[in-house]
Amino acid sequence: MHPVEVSELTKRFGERLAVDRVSFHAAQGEVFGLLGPNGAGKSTTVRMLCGLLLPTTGVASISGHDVARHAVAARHCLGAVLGGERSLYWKLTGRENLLYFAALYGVAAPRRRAADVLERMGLGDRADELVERYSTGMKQRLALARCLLAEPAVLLLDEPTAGLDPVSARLLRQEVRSLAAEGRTVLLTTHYMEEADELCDRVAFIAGGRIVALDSPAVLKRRLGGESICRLEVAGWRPDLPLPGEAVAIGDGRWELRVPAADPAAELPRLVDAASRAGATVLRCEAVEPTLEDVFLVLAGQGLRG
Amino acid sequence: MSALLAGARRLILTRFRYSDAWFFYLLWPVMFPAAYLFTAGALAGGGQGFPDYRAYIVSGTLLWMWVNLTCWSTGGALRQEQTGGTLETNWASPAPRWALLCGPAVADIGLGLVAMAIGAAESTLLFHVRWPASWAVTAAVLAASVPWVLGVGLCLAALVFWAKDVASMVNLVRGLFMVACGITCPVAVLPGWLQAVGSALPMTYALDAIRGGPWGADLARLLAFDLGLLALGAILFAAVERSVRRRGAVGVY
Repeated sequence: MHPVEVSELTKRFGERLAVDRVSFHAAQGEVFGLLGPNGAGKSTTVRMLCGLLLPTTGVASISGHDVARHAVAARHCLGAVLGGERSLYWKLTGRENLLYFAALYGVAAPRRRAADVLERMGLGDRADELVERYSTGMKQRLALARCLLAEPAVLLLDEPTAGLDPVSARLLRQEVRSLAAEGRTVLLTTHYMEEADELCDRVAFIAGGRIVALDSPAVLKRRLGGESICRLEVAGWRPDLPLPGEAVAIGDGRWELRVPAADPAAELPRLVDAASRAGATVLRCEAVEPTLEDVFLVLAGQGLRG
Repeated sequence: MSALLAGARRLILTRFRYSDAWFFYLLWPVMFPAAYLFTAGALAGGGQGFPDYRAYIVSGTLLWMWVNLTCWSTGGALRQEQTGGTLETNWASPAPRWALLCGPAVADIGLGLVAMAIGAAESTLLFHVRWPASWAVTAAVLAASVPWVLGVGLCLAALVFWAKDVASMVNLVRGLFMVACGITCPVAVLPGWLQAVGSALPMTYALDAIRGGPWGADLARLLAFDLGLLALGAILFAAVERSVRRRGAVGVY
């Protein structure tokens, strides 16, 4: 039995199929990422795991407890960060927030436990300040502290680093890693592919309500059509130019074009030539290793087309 | 000027996206003056001859203040959680739903009782009002009123969970209590159909007991309301909560 098991989970809202027979599991100590574009079905899956949404069919269990039929037992084993900083009471102090939630989870010795998690999250010296005076990063750390109160086996983190500055995001990622090292299972949703690449042991890409790929980031990157990515930095790019792939603005009128290629040595000159003939100025070209974002763009596109 | 009109248009569009807004604009305009109209009728000689009009008004308005504070507490707190963004986090916890719902109401019941006691004391000092019931009867009436107030609160909370913004429905319930229960005028001066509405509302019997009515019979009726309204509220909320979880609308506001 795995701490998180999801089998043929389906959610239908009227005619719309939001989640379509999704199955996966997450092992003890594993960081498992749920990735996908907006509206892909990630949040719906997460909310079913939290018991906030009833599945149409299929089963999801947390530490062996069915989230629909034995919701209370499942919730005791799950700590969730949902909604980020808005999930806290801003007119209470950090400590008062934790004491309130400790009561909801029936935490023994709540004062000591609240103090412990506040210290762990680096909030010990600000514990008695109103949350409204906290920075966004501090609020996110307090939300994580809250979900650690009952020492759950499974942590569900819904975009935990959204809106954080790089330093705060790095601190939070370090904390996620150490939580997994303690043996907790972490289920993570994020839009930051670098973060997923860095943190996750395995990721599932969801598109159109279905899992279109599930494996470790390294394997997924290897599976990408080509072994490498041709990267072009161009000026004067327009959407109607006859070039493959999508260009992303990177500032100062420059655009980045990334195209998977089996043989980048042969493909790069072709791309440079095509860009020049189309009127764009090629500022830089190189073959680079694919990132999880390249996998995401390819798979999300395939899933949505399907 | 265009910004001013755009702001007004935005408010109208937003307000009428919630279907209960119609209740407010259709019913509140008649409910609001009704209480004063009937009070004037009673003062003109149509009353039952309660000997101390000051005690009558003070006891009615203070009990009304307490009911008003507490019966909306459950739904109001739920609404605040919805708009504040904390509802999903609470709902993802293993705590019983009734505890999450009734916690704020317990605080408001206590605070409301303190406010009521202060109101009674200040009325005695400033207006020489003699509270019309013994403290024992008052305490018994208030104790017997807590469950039905919670029951009404659960029904309103179910409405909040279902329809989100239900301020107009809440005003409708408040208006019914205000006009039909004899807060500022005897039920006897109301039109027959409104007397029938009053006889179906528990606050009518709470007020009657405090004002020297047959408190034994009134308390028995209040206990019946307690059972009925608590059961109705619990069943209604459980059904709505399941439906909302099916629709995925727990955190929607």
